[in-house]
Amino acid sequence: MQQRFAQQMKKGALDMLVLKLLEHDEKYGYQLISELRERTGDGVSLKEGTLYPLLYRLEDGGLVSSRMGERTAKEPARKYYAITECGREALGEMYQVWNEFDCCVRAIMEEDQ
Amino acid sequence: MNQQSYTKMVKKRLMCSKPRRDEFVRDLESDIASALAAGESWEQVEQRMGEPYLVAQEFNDNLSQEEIAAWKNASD
Repeated sequence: MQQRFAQQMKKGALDMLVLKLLEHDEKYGYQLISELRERTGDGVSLKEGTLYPLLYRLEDGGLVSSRMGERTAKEPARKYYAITECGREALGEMYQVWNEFDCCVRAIMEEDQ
Repeated sequence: MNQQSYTKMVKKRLMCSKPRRDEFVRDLESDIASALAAGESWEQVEQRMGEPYLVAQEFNDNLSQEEIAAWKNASD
């Protein structure tokens, strides 16, 4: 049960985390998966089957945009994702919701402390 | 299993429109190429990504309701 709870909790924050990773630089899929894994110490391990539907949904909603990079001698052709202005606004709103929810959870879970 | 067979098996099990299916397969192939370019072996990539049917299942489970509805309508 703990694993399922952990999965549901993490899933709820993924949109926000991906937008945050795109805040300063455009990135490609493998890069997003690697960075998320490294920066969370394997705490958030995303697979392509979850990442790409998420990116497609963010793009359809205008929160990210994509462009195809060029294939070079050293690198394969990659699709780069970048956050849009709408995405930046949404990121701010999501983080605010997250913080408010965190306060609510703490208010209940820490009532005896 | 080689890379071509792997992506073919994933593609067969995707429940979405053809453009989206082709897009995901291209993205999957690009990630595989990036992983190989980063020094991973194909065996490591295959193990990390998991069985093709699980990749497809996870993708299908995470599709938006609109995409699922559009695919079902097109299939009827």
